[in-house]
Amino acid sequence: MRLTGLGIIVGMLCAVAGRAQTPDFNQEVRPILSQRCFKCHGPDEGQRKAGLRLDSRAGATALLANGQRAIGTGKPEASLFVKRIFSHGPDMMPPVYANKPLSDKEKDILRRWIAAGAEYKPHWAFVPPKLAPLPKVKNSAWCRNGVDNFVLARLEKAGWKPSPEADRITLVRRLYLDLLGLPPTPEEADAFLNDKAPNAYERLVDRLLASPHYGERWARRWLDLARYSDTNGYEKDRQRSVWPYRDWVIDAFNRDMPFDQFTIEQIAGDMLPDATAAQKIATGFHRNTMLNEEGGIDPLEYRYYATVDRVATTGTAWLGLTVGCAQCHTHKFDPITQREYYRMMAFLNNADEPTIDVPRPDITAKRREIEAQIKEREAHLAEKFPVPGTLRWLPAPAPTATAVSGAKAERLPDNSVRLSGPIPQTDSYTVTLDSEASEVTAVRLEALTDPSLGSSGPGRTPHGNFVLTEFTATVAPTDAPNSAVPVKFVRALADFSQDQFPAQNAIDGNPKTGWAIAGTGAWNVNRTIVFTPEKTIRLPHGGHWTFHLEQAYGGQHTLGRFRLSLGQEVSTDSRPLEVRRQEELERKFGEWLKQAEGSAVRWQTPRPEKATSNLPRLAVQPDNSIFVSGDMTKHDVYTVQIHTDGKPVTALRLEVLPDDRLPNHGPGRVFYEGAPGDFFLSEIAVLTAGKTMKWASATQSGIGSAQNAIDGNPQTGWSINGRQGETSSAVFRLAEPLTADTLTVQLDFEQYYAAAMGRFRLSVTSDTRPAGAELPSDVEELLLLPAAQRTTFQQNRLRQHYFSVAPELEPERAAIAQIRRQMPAYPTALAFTERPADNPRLTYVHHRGEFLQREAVVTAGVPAILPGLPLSQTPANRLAFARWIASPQNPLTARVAVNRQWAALFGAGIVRSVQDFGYQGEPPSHPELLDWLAVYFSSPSAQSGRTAASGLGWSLKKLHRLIVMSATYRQSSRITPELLARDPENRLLARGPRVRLEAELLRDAALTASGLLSRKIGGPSVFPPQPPGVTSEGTYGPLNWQVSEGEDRYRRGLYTFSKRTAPYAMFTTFDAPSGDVCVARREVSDTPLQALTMLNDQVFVEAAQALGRMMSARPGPLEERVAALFRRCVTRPPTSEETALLVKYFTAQKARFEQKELDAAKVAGMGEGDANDRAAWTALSRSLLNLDEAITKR
Amino acid sequence: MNEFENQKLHIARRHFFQECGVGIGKIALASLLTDAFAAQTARGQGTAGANPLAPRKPHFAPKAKRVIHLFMAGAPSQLDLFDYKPELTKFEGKPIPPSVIKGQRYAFIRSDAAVLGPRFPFAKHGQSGAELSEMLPHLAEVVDDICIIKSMKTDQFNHAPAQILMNTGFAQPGRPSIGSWVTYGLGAETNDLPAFVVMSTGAGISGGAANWSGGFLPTIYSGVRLRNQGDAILDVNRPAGVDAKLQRDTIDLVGQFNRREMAREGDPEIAARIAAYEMSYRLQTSAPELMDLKSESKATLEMYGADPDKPSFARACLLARRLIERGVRFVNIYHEGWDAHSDVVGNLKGNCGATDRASAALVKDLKQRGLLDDTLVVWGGEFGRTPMGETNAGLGRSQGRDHHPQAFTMWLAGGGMKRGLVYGGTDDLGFNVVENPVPIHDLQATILHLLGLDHERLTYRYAGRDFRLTDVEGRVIKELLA
Repeated sequence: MRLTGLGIIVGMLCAVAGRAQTPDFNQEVRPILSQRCFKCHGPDEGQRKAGLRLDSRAGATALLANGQRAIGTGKPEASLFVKRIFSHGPDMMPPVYANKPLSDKEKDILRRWIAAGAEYKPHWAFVPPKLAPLPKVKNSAWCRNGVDNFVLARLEKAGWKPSPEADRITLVRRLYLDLLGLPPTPEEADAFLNDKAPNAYERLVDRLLASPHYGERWARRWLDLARYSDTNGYEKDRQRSVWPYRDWVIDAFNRDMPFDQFTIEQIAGDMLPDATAAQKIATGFHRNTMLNEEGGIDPLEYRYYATVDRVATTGTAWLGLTVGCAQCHTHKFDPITQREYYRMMAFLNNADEPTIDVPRPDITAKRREIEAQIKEREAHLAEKFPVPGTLRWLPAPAPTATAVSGAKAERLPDNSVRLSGPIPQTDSYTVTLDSEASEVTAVRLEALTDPSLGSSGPGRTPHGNFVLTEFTATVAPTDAPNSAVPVKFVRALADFSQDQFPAQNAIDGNPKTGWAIAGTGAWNVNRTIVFTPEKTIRLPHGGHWTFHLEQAYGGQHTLGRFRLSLGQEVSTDSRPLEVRRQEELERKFGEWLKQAEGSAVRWQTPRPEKATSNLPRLAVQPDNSIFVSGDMTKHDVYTVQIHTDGKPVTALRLEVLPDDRLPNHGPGRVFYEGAPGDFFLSEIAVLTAGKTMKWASATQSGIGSAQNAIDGNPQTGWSINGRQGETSSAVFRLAEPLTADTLTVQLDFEQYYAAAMGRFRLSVTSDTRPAGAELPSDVEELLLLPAAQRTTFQQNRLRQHYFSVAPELEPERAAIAQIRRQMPAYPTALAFTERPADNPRLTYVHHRGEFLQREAVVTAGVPAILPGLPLSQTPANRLAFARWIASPQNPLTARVAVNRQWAALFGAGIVRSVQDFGYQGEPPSHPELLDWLAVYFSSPSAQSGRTAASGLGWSLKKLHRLIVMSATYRQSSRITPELLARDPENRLLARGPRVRLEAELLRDAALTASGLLSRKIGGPSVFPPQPPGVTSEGTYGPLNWQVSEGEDRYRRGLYTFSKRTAPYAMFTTFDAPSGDVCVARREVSDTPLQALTMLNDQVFVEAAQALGRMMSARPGPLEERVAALFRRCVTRPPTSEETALLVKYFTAQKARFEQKELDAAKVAGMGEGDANDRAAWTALSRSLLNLDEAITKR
Repeated sequence: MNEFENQKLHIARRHFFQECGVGIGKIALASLLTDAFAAQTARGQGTAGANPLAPRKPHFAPKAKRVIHLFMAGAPSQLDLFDYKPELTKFEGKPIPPSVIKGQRYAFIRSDAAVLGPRFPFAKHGQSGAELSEMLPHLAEVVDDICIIKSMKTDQFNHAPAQILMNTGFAQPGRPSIGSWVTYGLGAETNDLPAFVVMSTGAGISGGAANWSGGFLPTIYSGVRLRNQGDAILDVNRPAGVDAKLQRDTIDLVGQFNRREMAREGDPEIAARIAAYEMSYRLQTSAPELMDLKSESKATLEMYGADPDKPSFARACLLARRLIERGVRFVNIYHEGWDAHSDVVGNLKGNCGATDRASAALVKDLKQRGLLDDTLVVWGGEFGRTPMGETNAGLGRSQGRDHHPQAFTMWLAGGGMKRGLVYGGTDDLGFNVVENPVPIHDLQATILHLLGLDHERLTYRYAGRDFRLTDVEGRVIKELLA
């Protein structure tokens, strides 16, 4: 069904070498042996048949159990091997069932090889490359640099000639597309065409290499290997922030970071001395693996798969080895044992995987600015304390109330309103009342309990809570009932507000927020909220009031009984405002202090004696807290032993603390599926002498319910999402005081994802007063100090804390919170951090590669077939591994790298199998050229420059320069019938490259032609238009593709948001990878779906319309304008014949528009001027963007 | 490619160039093309130029020519639909003995979760006497035309990996799906529609695009979505204001220039591009024709329960029939939503309500049109559901069932499968397969076999290795073949 490329190259070689010669082992013999024999007679002992090993000379010539030899060197007739391969009987090799018959030509090669002595040579790719002298050629005038000598020598040997040099206009387009991934504009092309200097070409090359778009073009190719994507993959496929890594790659190319450094930073940048933020971001290379967040998975299992992927990707990207094949069994073809595979994995398996902040100076500056604003506001809190007036509440007037839901609203004798009847999810009450009050300075709403309500109210939920989402009022003077005006409330104060539901929410104009009253302790009590209007409302003859009580929260959170009354200021205090304010503040502070001192209990925070877990590592910190690192499981259990002073313990306090080492700054370790930085404490238990003690109750500061952690149900728990980066605490009271020297506290985190705490601290108290969690630990401690002993600093701390809880300052705090919300967060990136020496992650051999089948532990090491690790500088760790890969002594790395660059420029590598340099890969078409390039590339560059002895010092820019400067590269890409017949794949390079543009570049080219392209570099990924539903229909983790505004609509393709389970449709259609796995070579397909995209997709339609506008607005004769348009799309000018065709098309279409056969406005889109003209230009542009010439590099 | 296929390709091309009114240099071009395509055959796996979708001969005479896979994503409860286990009622509320569970990992439940009995009554149907629950009244009518496998098993117990395994033979994304393999192996029998078509109804698909990806096979073998919103095939509709004539004129102009370029540059790939544009033009007609259900009789619409204008599983089934009638090789319909961690009763009522009638109608319809003999219909999810119930107050779950990889049920119909057969069985608690286990790779090997493909010979060389759908396993289950 198919012929491999190998057949062709072998054929060519034979043609060159002549039949009589000894076959070359590497080029001709090993490929046959590898493909036909090694699977059963190769390195894998487990699969080896008949005890015969054909991948080594010793094995092949050894005496077999039957007393014969497979290969008798020099004696084909005495070789069982020869007999069997020429057999047609049942003993034929390879056996019929293997379905890999040898051709006659192959049999002949093997026979002649044995006849000549069956010499084995090491596989070419494992032998260090050598700098061969430049071959002599007849037509030396053709050669521009060393590349050409190798290519021409080969052509001359075959009796062929290179193609003539391409014309300059072809070359300028080729260079732009190759080096920048963008076509030249006509002006850019002209600049080169008009440059008559002899070194004009060289100057163009240098200009392009210096362009910042160079990095974008080459980054995209590298990102295929890095399996870059903006989502996690698998079912949930949530977004991730890893674009700083993508920008790092762009920047590295632009700065021409030497490839060895480029390699080391990506594999082990975090381990370099004083690693910079950029070096840490570089380790994102291996964080691009997928993350399965599906409910019910074992996170460690998928971490293992990610590591498997990292090994395979390292092999493909740098070594050109299919090391992944050795995951399940020793490699069937290449000399890599299964144990060696896991030893390589060990290098990459000892890292933790944090999310790191990317420090950006602009954001730092903005943050500082906002912090300063907040500080400023906080410093003036005391001045905002409300000045006391004496409010006199007038008797509540008789209200009339209605509910939108139709619930019954009845007026009670005390002029309150009680709701009954069906309980709606949401409601809105309108209350009207008439009051004689002539001056109103406040409105009071009392939420009242009532036995008819759930838990006696005041709300209508079964638990009695409600949420007042918005409170508004209008008032009209009694004598002018039709001139009602809205009342503007500026302040709302409640005697109690539920956490996250402050009173101010009821007047913030936002129906999504509100005031509610649930809390710890008994909260089914009467509550009061007072609203203050902007200014005193004066109504000489009283007023007609209308109030709206919006309760849009849902879940029946509506008011059950309430009363409204109006208040009048009656203060007669004539002292200055500030004096009165100060007096009030001191009074209220004093009240709070007294209450707080009365409730504070004394906590002890002993240093934990022992802290262990099922798997994570618990480390006691200097502040007696515990920091957790290492791997997590679905059910983590922490066990902490603390010593007490012997007094009976009445309660335990658990503080959870933020830490920058944790996801989202902690305190939890949740890094996927759940909310990053959160935790889920399923149960907490205190044991002493093996006995579990009974809890009485639990409270917590902030949010969540600590009670869930002592309810005996592991499916409920305490968590704090929304309070990441802050300290929260919970207090657990024991049913009976506990007397014991040592307590064991056990914390269970059992949720369907890894959900344990990252940093926490345990304290105990023997106080008999009920302990609570409301006070921060330091404040509580200060409160226990006699007032006289408190320093000024301590006093200030108390006052500062009071300011943070005083209900009177709630509006001001809300304003500060508003400012805080504007604080920009740093972008984040995904990185590696090597684990601490005392907590390494062990790597095992896995039987058949399966996660659950662990066998022996292995240490890190490299395959024996390759040079050893350079261990002089570092231990055998990831950094040493990175340096080993990036060493000029590694026979593979430089070859693989130069081959990849060659493939990018010529459409195919010198080694066609760019991802496989092993036995199964294809041998190089120009082995000496490959080696020459590899050595030259990886040798240090001499300071003086381009002497023959100096290398390129791993500079990719210099390598690209070298290749594109060659005569080989500059050849015309025309395929003559002769070339097509002789060398359809252009293996001998008798012509220049012809390749369809890659998916992203197709888009970039159309946007460049139309002038729409944004040239902005870097930043978060963007969402250009694509048909609706691509990322949502049938997608488990749908993404609402909110199309980007402004220039982000027209950014280069590599910035398009990449969603793994539903990739950008146009890119998929044009063979772009989804980022699931490392891709070394994109397929180039040609499908009708591609034609549909080019013709009908919005991106190309918009590009055509932009060109339409541009051309319609352009003055000049039609032929000139047609030619200008043509040049924008394909760079070269049209021939006169072509111009005539284009003009004919244009004229015909324009006539159709003018005759209203077609709707010109629709075709032309937005724009000014004659729509028919624009539409005709749009139609013509659309055609030109579709030309093969427009989408092909040639 | 053998001589015969070559010839066919050649004829197809000649036909194409004649039909499409090639304007200039017809004869020169024709000879160029011949050379180009001759060269293409030497390009091995490369898809450039030569039509990679040209029909190819199978390894041996096939029974089935095409496949419709009704993928019940999320995993239906076999215990409440197919695999009747009265013992479960007896043990309801008690944990399954640890000797049965044996340390099996579960997604959500604990190993001591209580047994949940079958939620619906079962009855025997047809001559085969196969037992079905009352949730499948329509399937009951065709029970003698289908083959029920009660002994399916998998080694993945999470949706995305299990779905990807079912489709690609490997639990992580990146390998070709069965539809891609089949299209690669057999080519297409239509030039007017994609060869491998994917539809989805219900909720989203856990495994995402990896389920119908061509993996490392050339992109042309990837499944093409037939979408519920917007253009049925992405970008199949012309832009606003562009009529058929303008589109034709455009393609003609593009073709004219491309042929000139071909004459000048000599790249056979340009011929392939010209052909692709022509096919795209045909698609713009064939796709609306396909989607237009006006020609279907009222009785047919009724039988499927399909509203011609509203996306639904029923409409997808009817479209699947129309697709295969038009030469499409492989159709996937995903109906996701069977993941009944809570309220298995409500879940089955909803999903059976949406799928039972149409699934059965598809079998009936294919049969009455004589298409069932060479069309294979596959119905099933990615794993089964536990005999134990799932209850979790924290997650708001009760009366559900968790993921169960050890045993589940699928049915297949037509295309050379035995009819009226119930194959394999599980223990009294429906926990483990005890008779004729069918691992995923065996099912895949069997499907390929029905299509005339030897799963060990259908390989593709990638990264130094010959890959196949069944990885290193797979056995054709001969007992299932008619």
